[in-house]
Amino acid sequence: MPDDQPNPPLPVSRRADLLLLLPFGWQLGLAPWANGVAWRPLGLPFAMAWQMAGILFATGVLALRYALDGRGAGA
Amino acid sequence: MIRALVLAIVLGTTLAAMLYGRAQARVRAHSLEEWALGGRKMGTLVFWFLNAGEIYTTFAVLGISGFAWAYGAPAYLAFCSVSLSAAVGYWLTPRIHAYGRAYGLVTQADFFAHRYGSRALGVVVALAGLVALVVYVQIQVTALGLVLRLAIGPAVGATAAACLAVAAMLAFVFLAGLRSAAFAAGVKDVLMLAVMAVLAAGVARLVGAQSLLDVFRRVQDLHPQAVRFPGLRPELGLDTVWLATSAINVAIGTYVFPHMFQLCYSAGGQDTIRRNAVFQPLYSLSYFFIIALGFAALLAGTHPAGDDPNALLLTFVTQRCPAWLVGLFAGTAALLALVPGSVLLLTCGSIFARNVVRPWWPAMADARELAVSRLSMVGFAGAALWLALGASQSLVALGLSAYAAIGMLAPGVYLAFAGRGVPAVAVAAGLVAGFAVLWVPAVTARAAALCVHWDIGLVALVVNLAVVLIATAALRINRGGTSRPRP
Repeated sequence: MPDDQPNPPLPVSRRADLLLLLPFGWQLGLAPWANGVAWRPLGLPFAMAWQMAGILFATGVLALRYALDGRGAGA
Repeated sequence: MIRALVLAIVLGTTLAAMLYGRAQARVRAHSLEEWALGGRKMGTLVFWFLNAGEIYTTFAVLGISGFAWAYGAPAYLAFCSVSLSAAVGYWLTPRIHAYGRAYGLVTQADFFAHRYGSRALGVVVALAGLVALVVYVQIQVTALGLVLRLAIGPAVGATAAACLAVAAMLAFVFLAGLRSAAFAAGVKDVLMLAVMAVLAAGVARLVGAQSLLDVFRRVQDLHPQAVRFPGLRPELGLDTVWLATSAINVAIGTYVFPHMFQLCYSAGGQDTIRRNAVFQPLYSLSYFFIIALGFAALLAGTHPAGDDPNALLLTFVTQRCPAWLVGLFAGTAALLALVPGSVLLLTCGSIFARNVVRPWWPAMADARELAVSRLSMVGFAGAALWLALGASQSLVALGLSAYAAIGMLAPGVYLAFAGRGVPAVAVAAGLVAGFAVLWVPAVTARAAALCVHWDIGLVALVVNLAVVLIATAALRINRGGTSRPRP
């Protein structure tokens, strides 16, 4: 029975995993606010530019989370 | 011209993919692990293309441009889906990968059977997965037929187009397996990005705009309601609540689908799978071009036959672009259906051999298991073809709801990694509750009234999870503080 015993090969959850919630805050939590902004960066609708910036933000957060894991964790 | 380009792209990619797959495998695949998982040796770039190959399907691309045209801002959901799936995936996918490697698992049903210690649960998950995947293949076949008929004209019959599509899907993966699909996915993604950029640049002039950015300026001036939530059809309730709940549902569900789950096993290591999560979201910036095309069609006043949003982009391109570009676009769109279709068929084959045949034939040799997978794949391709060509609409609708229902496996996946001691019975009870929210009209209506503008899939998921947790707690009390999964 594989259950009810710690599985040695599995990664352990860390407090740094909470970072992964930040993209949700940017892209979903702040979406109602972004929807009301009239400014047009580069002529784009702000709500859309906000989501595209959110992709870059998410990439940055994931890169930070990756860096916290240290290089070459696991094989 | 158009026909020659489409054929050149599709046949050229198929041939090159087969050659690449054979060359990479070096020795002929002799086990399911080698064929369906590429020997668990996929590197970062190849693994990235495989993931992208499954996320950017015909319906994602054609559907999003149609969504932008028909509803406006709700199409921005496309920008959230990949980045948030990656954020969840960063936590989930290394766990799936590690578990699969430790116990030599190949399919998602293997995981359920092993983790919950229940072969019956494995068979149930396998059968549900097969139904859902075949329907998903059928969607790709139908989409491909749409592409070919709109691009080439009625000269290509629906039957011929569908048969050709299924034959090409099988050709991709029959011999060399996942490695060939990975190569084709790479060709597809590079081509798509190039074609979309060319299209978007050219299209601005066609609709009287100075540049691509000017398209957005004009849309904001002429259709101010289109660029912000709730978009062009406020009565549908596609507001930011809808955005948030739909995006969360997609993020939770992406790697729960059987083929995405299985893909996680193929990564070469923990580092590969984590790096993929970091870089996967960047590609979704390309939805910028796809949404731009949808808005351009809105400015141009394009109306596809029957105002079907899925036909919008094809109609727009065939009406307004030169033949060579239409050919390039149609060829790329064909690959958008073929690549995911081939991986879906490969997943079907491996599930069938591992989780439907093997429980009754435990002594089956590896080579025999591989042969069963390949042959059954032809059968599933035939089933998808039959669904695409001859099946009644109600049957297709039934299958579609089965596909939507696969997301209900999520609590069983996440709880397996987050907590211990969740019994199979509790997971099953959660499934039933989730299905009730999705399928029993009275319950659906009640749930929709309680959670206004929520994505109904997420409501079903929340109910499902609540039932699993309550059932687990109840069983634990019943058994005096310990809980063990049923054998």
